[in-house]
Amino acid sequence: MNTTQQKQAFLGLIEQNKGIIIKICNSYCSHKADREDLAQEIIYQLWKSGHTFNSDYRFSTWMYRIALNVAISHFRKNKSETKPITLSEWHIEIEDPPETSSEKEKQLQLLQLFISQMKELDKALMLLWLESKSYSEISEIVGITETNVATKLSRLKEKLKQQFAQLQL
Amino acid sequence: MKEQDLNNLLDMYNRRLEETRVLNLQTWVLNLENYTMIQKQKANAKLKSLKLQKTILAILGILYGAAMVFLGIVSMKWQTIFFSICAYGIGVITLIAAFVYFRQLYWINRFNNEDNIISAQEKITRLQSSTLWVTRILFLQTPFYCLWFVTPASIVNAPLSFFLITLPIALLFTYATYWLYKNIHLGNAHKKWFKILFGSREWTHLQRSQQFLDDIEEFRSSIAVR
Repeated sequence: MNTTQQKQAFLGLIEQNKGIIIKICNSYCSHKADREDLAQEIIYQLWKSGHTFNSDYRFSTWMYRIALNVAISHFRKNKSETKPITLSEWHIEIEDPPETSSEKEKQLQLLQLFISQMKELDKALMLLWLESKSYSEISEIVGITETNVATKLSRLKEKLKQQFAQLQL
Repeated sequence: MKEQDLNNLLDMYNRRLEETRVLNLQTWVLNLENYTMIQKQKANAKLKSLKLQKTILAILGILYGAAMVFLGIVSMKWQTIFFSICAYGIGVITLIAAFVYFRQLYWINRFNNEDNIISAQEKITRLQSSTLWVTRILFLQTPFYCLWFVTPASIVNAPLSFFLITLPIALLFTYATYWLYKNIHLGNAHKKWFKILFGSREWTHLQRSQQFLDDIEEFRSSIAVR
């Protein structure tokens, strides 16, 4: 396979799984420029590591591991440069926002803020859960037991509920 | 908020994460070659300088350490007993520090983004914090530098000033060395003296490493706590 074909095949894989990259970037970076930098870095690392992919594993597991490792390292490296996050900064920009009631929109913004305040590893866990990954795959990606995944997730959801309850929403 | 309401909200959040317009993945993949070249140059320059610095330090450490051990062995006589012990001590400590540099090089070469998140992040953080190890070990040499010139004859014939100046200084350095060896660890990264010793950039870096290691530990052991 020559480079152009390799690139086409890689493009196909990226297209199929672009949701993963987009979600990770949006979850770990509050500013648009940072999100773009991170996405480029993830794509580069995936391309660089492509030859080492072991087909015994699921492609998504491999991709998640690389993308989340890059995102966490990127986040940690730039942490000191990050300004305190405000509610408006975490409002995700979309082209045609679906119609939602202002109450729902407020709740959604708060949820974004609460998730953004989670620790790096908790955020990774939440993201994988939102992707409907099985506990077994989450455990493989993150490196903790399935029981631990279940307990951590239930605690994270409980914490979110409490945060909303404190605001009486 | 009820469980179902939260799940609905999370579902909405999930869909919104995917709908964002911020990324142009196609263009980046098509420009991958250019980007790869730039990144490679950046990464190589950074990694090369880090590897080169550690390799030079490790090689110099081995040469210096071996020379000092050799000196310590060949000068092993009663008349020069302090010199021998000091040279031997400095040599052994330097060799240990060189070994730590080699171990860091091994870690750098083995780092892999494809490891599970906990393991990969732990490796990076441990590599960042292993600078402390070298500093800690190298401090142990200090008392030897204070005593190498002493001989048994000079102690017997020493004037009072020897006991009033040299000895207290040597004891002070020995205690300081012991104290630093005991206290230089990530757990003290938040303290002021640590910041002075390592400079504020390294200090922030190490403090963050400690925080992250704590997070990993907490994340891993959350089942055991309850």
